[in-house]
Amino acid sequence: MAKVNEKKYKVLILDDEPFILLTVSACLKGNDYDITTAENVETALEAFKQKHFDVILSDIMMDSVDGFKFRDIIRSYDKRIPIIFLTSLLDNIDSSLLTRIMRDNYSYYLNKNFTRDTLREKLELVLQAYQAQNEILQLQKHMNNDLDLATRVQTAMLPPWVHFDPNYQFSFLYHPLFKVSGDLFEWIPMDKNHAMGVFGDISGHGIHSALTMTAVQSMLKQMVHRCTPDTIRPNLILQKMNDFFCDKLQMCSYMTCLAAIWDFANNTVLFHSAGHPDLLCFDSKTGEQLIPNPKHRGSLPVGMVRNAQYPDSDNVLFHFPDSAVFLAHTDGLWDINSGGDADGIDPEIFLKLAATAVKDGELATIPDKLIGALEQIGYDVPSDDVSLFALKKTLKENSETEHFLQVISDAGIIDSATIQAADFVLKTTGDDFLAANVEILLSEFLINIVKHGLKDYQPENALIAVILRIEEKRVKITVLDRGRAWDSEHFKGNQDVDAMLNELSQKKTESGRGIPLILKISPQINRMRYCGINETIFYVSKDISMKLLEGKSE
Amino acid sequence: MKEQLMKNIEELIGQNDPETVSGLYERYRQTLQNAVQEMQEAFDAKDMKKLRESAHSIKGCAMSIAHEEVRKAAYTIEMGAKDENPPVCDAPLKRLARISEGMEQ
Repeated sequence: MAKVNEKKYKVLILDDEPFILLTVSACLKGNDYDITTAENVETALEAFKQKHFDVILSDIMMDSVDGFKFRDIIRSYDKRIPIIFLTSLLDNIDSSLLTRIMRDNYSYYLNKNFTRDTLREKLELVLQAYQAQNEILQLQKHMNNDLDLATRVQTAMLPPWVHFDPNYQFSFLYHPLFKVSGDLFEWIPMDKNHAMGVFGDISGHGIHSALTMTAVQSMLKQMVHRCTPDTIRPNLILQKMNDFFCDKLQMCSYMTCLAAIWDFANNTVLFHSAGHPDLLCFDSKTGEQLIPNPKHRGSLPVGMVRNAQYPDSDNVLFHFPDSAVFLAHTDGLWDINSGGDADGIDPEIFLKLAATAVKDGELATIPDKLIGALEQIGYDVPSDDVSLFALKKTLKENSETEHFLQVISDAGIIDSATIQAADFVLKTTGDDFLAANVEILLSEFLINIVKHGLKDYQPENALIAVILRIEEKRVKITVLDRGRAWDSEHFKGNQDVDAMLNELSQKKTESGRGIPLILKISPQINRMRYCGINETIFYVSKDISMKLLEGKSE
Repeated sequence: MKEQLMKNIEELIGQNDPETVSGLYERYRQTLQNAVQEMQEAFDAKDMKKLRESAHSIKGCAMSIAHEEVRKAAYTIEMGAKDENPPVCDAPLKRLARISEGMEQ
């Protein structure tokens, strides 16, 4: 038989019977194999630790340690080196013995009545299989690296997970089933008052869908780049997408899609659904569900039928109140189930949870709160890509008392953001100590997030949202991050902050002062985690600023 | 018997190497001799574990050079020792002793 290649294979042979070592060595004599023999496990392990081997031949039934225990020890060093058990036990065919041998994916056996040819043939086969497995693993590694890159590229093409605009704010949760996804979300600001959102779901998932999604996104950017709110209509976008799928992509897949154009000056949204789940809307004051598309108007998914028509008459115009919160999602959301053969989510349950989530707290937390709530009631097994988007109008009348910041986890940007936050507090309250306290607190806390929560995180997740609200006698600061679920024992209340600071002073260390300082400024801290988001709320009161001032003058 | 075993060893190692063949034959002869002695001592001491291990070991050696007579006897001893049934081992042990004594140097 031909050798796998010209390499001289290193073989370790273990048998407590020297005669067997001699016969195996005699059979492998020549230029093909470099042989090391051992009469006991200790000698074999010593040799194994000192030298690289390609394959091991081992007896099973030995006086001291049996071949299987020897294999266990070898596996603690090398999970994959092939081990061929030489056995004379198989003349009494013993299926349990075979089962034990085969329990390990890289173990084989050879009866002791081998000849030179059968022994060499076995070795060649095992080594060929090992080489093929190595190549597959190498290929898998390359593919995984490529997939990681694809994930990064795809995620980079998506809008940020949270965005604050003077007219609106949105948050977006994106969970690909595999590393890449066929879910599409494109947000295109058009002019001062208009923005377009396109939500899509390519048929299937994985690489095929992801590549299609990337092509569609690129086509969409080119198309919308040249349009104004006066010249573009949702049905025209879908019509062009259908042509693109049919002509350029040869109908290799299809896509459900929702194209919507919001007019924040007139509180309207004009949208068209091509087989996509409907746009949901809730009143954030009451939790009441509003129905943007009561007649369920819509068209076929794009790319499904050549020459399909997407008429203007199927566009839907919806007037929304200032307090409206919109939710858009892909149908992967309905497929989240509780495991096994369980059905997906009951839409009624989802709508009830959504009504609660929109009433309560920050818009940026809604997608994570909703998915987190579903997980809590057992719906935690996605079977498709899942995307969930939440949007609401930013109210002008609140602009004097609330301020939104998106902060990238970079020391320079953190500094500039905290200064911006302090400026806002100073401008609104005229209280420079309050402003200084807000700046110190934010600076210390954001650095903590970067150090503990976002270390090694990908840039798209390293965006931190900060919301400042001026209340009657205090400033409420909400910080949202998508970092890991780190927590500090010190945030759990009833801390003797002065004792903590004294201890640090005695140790003459600057490091670790952040948390006591934060607690000094904001004794009350609420910290929650919803799905993949951390929400931390601080209250900095004007009284505290006075106390600190008094403390300083003392 | 020596001629047949030498032929078997030559077939096993697949090459015409008289020195290695005669070296392996001699080593086998000594191995069998030692094994018979070990098995006899274990048999006399009723140490069935040791008897089984020695029988298993010589069975493997015999298998490797296709010495069927020794393999069969060693297998019977191994099974008898495993079942803790010394009478079953008696005759094959005597047969192995005779074979060992009859092997030419």
